[in-house]
Amino acid sequence: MSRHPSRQRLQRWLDTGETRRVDRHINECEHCQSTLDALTELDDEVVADLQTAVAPPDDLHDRTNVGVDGRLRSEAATGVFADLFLVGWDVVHTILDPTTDSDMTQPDQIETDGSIR
Amino acid sequence: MSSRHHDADGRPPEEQLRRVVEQHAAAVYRVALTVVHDAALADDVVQETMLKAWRHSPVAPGEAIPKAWLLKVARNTAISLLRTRREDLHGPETLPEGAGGPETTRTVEGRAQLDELWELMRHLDEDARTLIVLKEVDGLSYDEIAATLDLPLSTVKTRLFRARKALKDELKDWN
Repeated sequence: MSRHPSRQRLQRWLDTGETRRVDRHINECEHCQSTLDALTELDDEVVADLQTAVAPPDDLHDRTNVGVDGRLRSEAATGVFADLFLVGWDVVHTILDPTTDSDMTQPDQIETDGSIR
Repeated sequence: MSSRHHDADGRPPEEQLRRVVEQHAAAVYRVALTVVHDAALADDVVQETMLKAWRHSPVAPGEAIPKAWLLKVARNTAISLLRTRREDLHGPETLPEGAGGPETTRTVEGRAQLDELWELMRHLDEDARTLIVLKEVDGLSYDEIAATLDLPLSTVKTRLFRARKALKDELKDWN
């Protein structure tokens, strides 16, 4: 389509989506895009109401920071707990494993210099 | 921000995360609310999005996180959250309490008008609502919207024209 569609035709395109030919033209034509921009421009009052309608609560930043900090701390604590659990499991496994040849009936005696008797 | 401000794993430090919250939390909240229609869920999306920004920042430590990337994460997080909780949601007919931000002292009449406008927005599909909010409220450029929604530029424009037309039609019917 070499010529620009009329405003009526662009309006019809908005209403019905016809036709592929107009589609193609609009996709490539900044002039028609500007016309459509003007045809569909929202009133300032509507935009202002929209801005208010989706405005976040006043304390959004504080709530987000507190929530994110809490999540990060909780995850860090979960990681420590998981590590402790794994250490505990290793100990239990060592005690119960019959292939372990160390004598667990008598606890090792640790000397004051750190050596094991 | 120099590299000495980053932790051992190279993730943005808390200070940087707080800056991201300060700069982008409101826009993330709006995108989230547009998808989930629930203030508490939108809050969850904001927090989840910020955590994702902390863990998976697409830029080198110290560089500003692109707004379009953050909003894309927010939208995907909101859609995902909505899918998992859809059964529990009954679709509030009005804006959640607390929406309306600093103007929470609006008159009852003003509040009702906002509720009605929001209800009209709910008649549009999610794509159309998001396009309108990103363009009209957040003032994103067409390029930024295209990056946020993963759409070609021309598609963003034509869909936005149609979205605004649809909202205007809804407003006309309402009036």
